[in-house]
Amino acid sequence: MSCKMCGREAEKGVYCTQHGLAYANLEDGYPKWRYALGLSWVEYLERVGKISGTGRWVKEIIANILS
Amino acid sequence: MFKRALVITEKPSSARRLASALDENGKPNRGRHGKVSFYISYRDGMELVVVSAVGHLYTIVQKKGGWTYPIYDIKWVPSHKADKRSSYTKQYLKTIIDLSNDIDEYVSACDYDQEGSLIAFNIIKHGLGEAALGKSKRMLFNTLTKHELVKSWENRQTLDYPVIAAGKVRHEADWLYGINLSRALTITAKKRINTKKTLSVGRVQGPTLRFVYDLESRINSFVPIPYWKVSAETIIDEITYPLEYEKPRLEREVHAKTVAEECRGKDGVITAIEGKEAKIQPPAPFNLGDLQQEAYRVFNYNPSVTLKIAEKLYLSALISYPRTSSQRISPTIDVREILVKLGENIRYERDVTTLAAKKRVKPRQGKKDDPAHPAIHPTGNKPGLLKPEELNVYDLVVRRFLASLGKPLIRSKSTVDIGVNGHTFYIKGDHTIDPGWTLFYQPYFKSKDTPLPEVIVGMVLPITKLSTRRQYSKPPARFTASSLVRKMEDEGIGTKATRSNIIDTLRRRGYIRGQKVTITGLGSNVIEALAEYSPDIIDVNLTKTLETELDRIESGTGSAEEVIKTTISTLDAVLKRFKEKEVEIGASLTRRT
Repeated sequence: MSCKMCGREAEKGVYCTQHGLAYANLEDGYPKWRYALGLSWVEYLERVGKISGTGRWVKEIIANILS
Repeated sequence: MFKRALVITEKPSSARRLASALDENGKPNRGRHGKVSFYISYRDGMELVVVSAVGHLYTIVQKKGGWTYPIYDIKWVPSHKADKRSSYTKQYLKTIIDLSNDIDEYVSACDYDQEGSLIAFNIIKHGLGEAALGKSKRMLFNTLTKHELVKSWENRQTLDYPVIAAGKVRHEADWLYGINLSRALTITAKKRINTKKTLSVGRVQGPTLRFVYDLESRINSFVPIPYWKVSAETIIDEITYPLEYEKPRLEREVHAKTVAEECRGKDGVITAIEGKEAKIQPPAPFNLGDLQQEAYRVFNYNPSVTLKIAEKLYLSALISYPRTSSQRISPTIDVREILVKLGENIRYERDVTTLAAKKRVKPRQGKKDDPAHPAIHPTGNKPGLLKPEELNVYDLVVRRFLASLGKPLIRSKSTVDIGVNGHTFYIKGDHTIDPGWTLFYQPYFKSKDTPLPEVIVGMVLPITKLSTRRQYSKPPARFTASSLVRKMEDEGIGTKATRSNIIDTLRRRGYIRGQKVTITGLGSNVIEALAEYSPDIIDVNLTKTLETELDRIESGTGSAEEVIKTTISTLDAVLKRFKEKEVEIGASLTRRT
């Protein structure tokens, strides 16, 4: 199965190793953001997607989820 | 009839310097053999024919077979026969061979390291014949000053065979890794797409590229986390001071807002004043990595540029041998004598006078040591006309050396605690009590004093400009060429002489780019293909283990044959896997990114 972001071979589920790492970080970050600002998952994704320090692979995943 | 010695140096400029130092009248006769200069000096009733190589005059080639892999059968041949780009070395080798008639003793006077030892050994063994090895001696020196060269001549030793063996194994192992892996990558990629591009990877290149790749992965997968800072100001004697909140980071916005609401419009009361002195010891003199890092910080010089400049300063007898890991100055080095000579340079006269007045002038010793060389230090010889960048590096080395002889820097650090409605804010200040060594390290050391106002416990202060600010955690900083050299050094891969060149090679190959180093699509493809199909090659432990083995060979406790045998068996397993998985690896290498 191919990664739905880049076409590399997907390791587990739908993402390759690289995008899988980015998605795992995105999931890990959500409880901290929810604690900090009380945001929903979608609000969280929208905010993180606009920050300049957010990683390229993370932004690609966010754009895909929100599209 | 004079006895005759053939003295071989590593580079033409060191031949001239060595011949002048060893000639009893300081005026050697200069001869020409074609376009190559050589020198005749007289000393101790001997005629010394001083002639130079121009780096390595011999190199490795495969014994047979075409442009394929695996290749394990290799031999040493003159460099000019192996590569047209090395054709300039032919005349140097010919000169040495032609001048070697009626010689009673051969002397290796190349740089005091594995490369230097191997350069002379190859010339003597392959160019002059095995019998010449039996009549060969080695000069060992850390600076090209007259005093040290004469001492080294008088104490010349038997050839340093363990060092030569380590150098030879390093070259052979690197050749085997480099040629086989590069061919495997290139052939595999070419089977997939029609390209003229040659892919390459080496024993140290692979793990170094992996560092960049791993960091890039962390940056690409980074998720910033928000936090809040509470800050405020107070005014004392009409001067505004910034206040820091007791918790540098608050994890919830609501907490930050609560602090601000509870403190807004309130006065603060000073509850404590604390002060302490911090003693900062002088820095140790430079090793090569430290010098490269500092030259990058101060002048923005690429590490390989700094190395080239430092080598030139060494060949001009202005500084000691730069390819050293040591941060220590051995007790045999006469520091006072160096100071006296440096004091003749108006640039350093005042600082030297201050230091020379001390009863004891002992440099601060660092932790890192190098059995062959001391830390980089000035010889004291007065520089002639130097280019601006050479003068910069020279001055940096001198000032670091002088700073290492200085007293500790003493700073006073103070904190005033201010209670505001159950919360605590701080005013922090610091100032210099004794500049110590920093006086000698100007203009490369800068510090800013932030003195505290006169205050007492119980004093009431107004709290102004109370604010909260949201910030985000930042992704890791990208490597610079300098911090990548440091990472390689910390991980124990490459040598002090090769690290910066390896980074340049990765750039030339199109694997990395930019001042803030980023990995290219091609670089990522190479790492991902290797990570999947031959992870050992980019594992730092493989090359680290080899470095340890090379150290063992150099110290006379390791076996050169065993290391080559292990290298071949490791490679063989990797290359077999390459052959089996050519289709998959080819696809991975040529993936669009």
